[in-house]
Amino acid sequence: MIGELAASFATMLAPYPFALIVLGTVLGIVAGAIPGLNGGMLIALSLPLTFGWNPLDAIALLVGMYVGSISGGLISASLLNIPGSPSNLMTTLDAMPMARRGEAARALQLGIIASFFGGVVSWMALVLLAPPLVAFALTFGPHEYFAIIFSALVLISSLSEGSMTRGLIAAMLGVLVALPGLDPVTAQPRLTFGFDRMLGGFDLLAVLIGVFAVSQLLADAAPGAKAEVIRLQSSRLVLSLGAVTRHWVNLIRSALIGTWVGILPGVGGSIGSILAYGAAKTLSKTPERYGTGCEEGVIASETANNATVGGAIIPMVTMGIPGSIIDVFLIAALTINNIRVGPLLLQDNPEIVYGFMSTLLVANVVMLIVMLVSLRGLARLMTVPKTYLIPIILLFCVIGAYAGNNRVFDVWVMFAFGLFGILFRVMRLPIGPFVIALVLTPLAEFNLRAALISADGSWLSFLQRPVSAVFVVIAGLLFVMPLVLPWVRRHSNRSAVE
Amino acid sequence: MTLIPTKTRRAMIRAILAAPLGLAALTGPALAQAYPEEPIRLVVPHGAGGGTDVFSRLIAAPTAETLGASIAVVNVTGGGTAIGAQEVARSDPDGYTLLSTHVALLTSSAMGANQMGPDSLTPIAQLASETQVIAVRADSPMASAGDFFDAVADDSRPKLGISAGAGNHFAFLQMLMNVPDYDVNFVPVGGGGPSMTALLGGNIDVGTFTVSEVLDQVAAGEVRAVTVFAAERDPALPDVATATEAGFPIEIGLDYVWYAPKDTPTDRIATLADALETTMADETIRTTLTERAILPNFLRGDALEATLAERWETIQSVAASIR
Repeated sequence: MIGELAASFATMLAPYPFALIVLGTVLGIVAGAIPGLNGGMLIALSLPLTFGWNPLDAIALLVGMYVGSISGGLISASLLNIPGSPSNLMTTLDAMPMARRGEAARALQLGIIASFFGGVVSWMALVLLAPPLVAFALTFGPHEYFAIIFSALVLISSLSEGSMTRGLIAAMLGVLVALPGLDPVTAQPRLTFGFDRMLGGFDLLAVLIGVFAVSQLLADAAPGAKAEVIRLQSSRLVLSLGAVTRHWVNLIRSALIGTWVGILPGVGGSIGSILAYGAAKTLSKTPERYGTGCEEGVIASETANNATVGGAIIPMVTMGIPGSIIDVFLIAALTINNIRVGPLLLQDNPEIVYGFMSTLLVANVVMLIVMLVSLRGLARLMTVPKTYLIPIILLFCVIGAYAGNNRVFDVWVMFAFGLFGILFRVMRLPIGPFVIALVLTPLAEFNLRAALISADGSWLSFLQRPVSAVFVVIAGLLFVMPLVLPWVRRHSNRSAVE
Repeated sequence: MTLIPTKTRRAMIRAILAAPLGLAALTGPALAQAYPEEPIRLVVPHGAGGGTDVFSRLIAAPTAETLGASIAVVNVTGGGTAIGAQEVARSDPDGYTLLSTHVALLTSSAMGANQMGPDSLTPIAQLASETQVIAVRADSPMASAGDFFDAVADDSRPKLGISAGAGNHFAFLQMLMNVPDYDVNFVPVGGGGPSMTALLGGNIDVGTFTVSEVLDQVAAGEVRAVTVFAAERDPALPDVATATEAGFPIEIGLDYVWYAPKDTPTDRIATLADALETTMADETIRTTLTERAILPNFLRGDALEATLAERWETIQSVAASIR
C-alpha cells in the first residue's frame, strides 16, 4: 500500500496534475471567499469541463476546488463579517470580533493553520482507517443522527451572548423558516400558502446570503453609516509556533469531530463546525468568551470544516456512498469515464483511490501555502473603498442565490432575508441561533420522524440503541450541567470558607 | 435629458422595451420553418450529478449536434420535480424550453405537489428505461419474489426504505397492489443512494432500486438482488429471476421521457422527436447506456401517448390508496 501511495504521489506531483491541483485550490479559495459563491457551485460548473479528461486529472482539479473552497470562506468571515460559505458560519462569530479588535491577521492565520491541520488529520483517517470507520458509520440510522443533532442543539443552546429570551426567539424563527416546502415524510405541501414556488422551501444558501451578506451590505451602504474598516497590519503577519501549539487539544478534538461528521452521509461541513464549536465551548473554562472574538472558536470551526472533506471522501472510496453533496459531483466525474464508484473501486481501480488520497494531501499543502502567502494581498484588498466593494459583492450574492437551483425565486428570498437580517439588528436578536436552527431543523425533523416510524412510534427506542443512548444521555447531562454547576460551586465554596 | 419632455421620454422607453417583442412577433412565422435557431433550454428537475442529470446530458450532446442548436442543461430542483416541471409548463410553447424527467413527474402530480399535472406538458419521446429491482443485504434469507411476497403478508413486518411520494415509494406500492393485507413498515430514508446506505447499515430490510443503483453492491457481494420487475431478465443481472417467472406478473420501470410545454407546434415536436430518435439509434450511445444498465426503449407519437396515459392511471390509483 505504501508503495502504491508513493507512486500515486509521484503521478499527482507531475507538472500537469500538480498544476491542476494548484488551479483547483486557488479557484476554490476564491469561490469560497466570495460570499454567495461556494465550492458546490464551482464544482458543479466545472464538472462538464472534466468530461472526457483523464479521471485522475479530473480528481486533481475537483478535489483541489473542494479543499480550497472550504478554506477560502474564512477570509470573508474574518474581513467582511460574512461567512464565505455555510461551513464558515461559526468562524464568523469569533473571527469578526477578533478583526474588530485589530486581530484580523491573527484570526486568518490561526484559521488557515487550523484548516490545514483538520485536512491532514482527516487525510490520515482516510489512509489508515477508512474501512472500519465506514463499517461503523453505516450502522448509524435515524436514531443516531437525531441523537447527535439533538446533542448539538443542546451544546449550542447557550450560544448567543446576552439575553436567553432573544436567543430562543431567534432560534424559533430559524425553525419556522426551515419548515415550508414538501413535508419530508408525507410529501404533502406544507406552509406553502398555495404558492408553488414555495414547494422547494426557502433555500438554505439564499437565506444565509440574505441574513449575512445582504443585510451587512445594506447596513454598510446606509446613508450616514460608517462602514467598518478592517486593517490587516503587515507587521503582524508572523505567528509564533506557540500561538498554535497551545491549542493542540482543541485542534485534535475538532479534527476528529469534523472527520467523523464528514464520514456520515448527508451531513455537511456546516454541521461539523457547529458540533466542534459547541464541544469546544462546553469544555472550555471560559465559555462566555465564545462569540466575543476568541481564538478557540475560530480554530474549532475551521479545523472541523476542513476535516469533513477528508471524512466525506472515506465512504465514497470504500463503499461508493457519497459523504457529501460534492461527493456526488466527484462520482459523476468518474462514472462518465465508466469508472464504477462502489465497493469494488479499490479492487478494480486502485489508482483512483490512491489518487484521491495523494491529491487530498497535496491540495491541503497547496491551500496552506497559497493562503499564507496571499495574506499581504488580502490586506491590500481591504483598502478597496466600500463604494466599489459592496456592489461587486452584492452582484455575486445574486449570482450565487440564483445559481444554486436556477430559480429566480431564490434571489427574492435572498433579498427578503436581507431585510429580515436588518430587522434582527434593529431588534438586537442574535443571528447565531437563527442560522444554526435553520441548518439543523430539517435534519432533526426528518431523522426524528424516520426514527419513530421505524420503531413503530417508540420513544424508548432512542435509549435502546447504544450509540443514540450515549448521545441522548450526554445531551441530558449537558442540559442539566449549567443548572447544577453554579449550585455545586456555591456549595463547595461555602464549605471551603467554613 | 431634460430637453426631452417626460411624455415623449416615456413613449421612447416604451418603444425601446417593445422592440424585441415586436421583432419576435414579426419573425414568428419565419421561425416555424427554421427551427431550432436559438439555444434550447433543457430543464432537468433533478439534482446535478445524479442519474437523471447524467443521462440527460449524455443524450443532450449528440441531439444538439443533430438539431444544429446547442442544448443548455439546467437543473431546477425542488418539490419532487414540481418546481422545474411547472416552470417548463408555464414557458412559451415554442420548443425552446424542454423538460427531461421520468416517473417523478407523474408521482409528484398524483401527490398534489405538481398542481398542473402531466397534462400541462406534451411528451416528445421516451428514450430509455431502467428496470426496477428489490434488494436485500447478502445475509438476508429473502432470495426470491415468493419470499418477498410471503414476508409482506406474514407478521414479520419488514422495513421497506422509501422516499415518501417519490418513485421508490410508488414502486413498492405497485408491487403490493394485489396483496390484500400487507403489513410493512415504510421507513422514510430517501432515494436510491440513501436507501442503499440504509440497507447496508441494517436500518431497512428491503430497498427498491434501479438496476444501475445495485449493480456494484451486488458484484461486491454486499447485497442480493431479489427479483426484477420486468418482462424479461435484465442483461446486467442475468441470474436474477423476474417476478413474472415466480408467478407475480408485475412490471415496473423508470422511463426517461422528454417533454415540451402543452401547445408546442406539432412540427417542432416532430423535429425534436426525429433528432432524439437519431440519437437513440446511434450505436455508441446505445453502448454507453447499456454499460450503465440503462436500456434504450424509444417511443413517440400515439404509442407514447397511450403508454403514458396508462402509467398515469396506475400512478393515480396507487396515490389514491395512500392519500
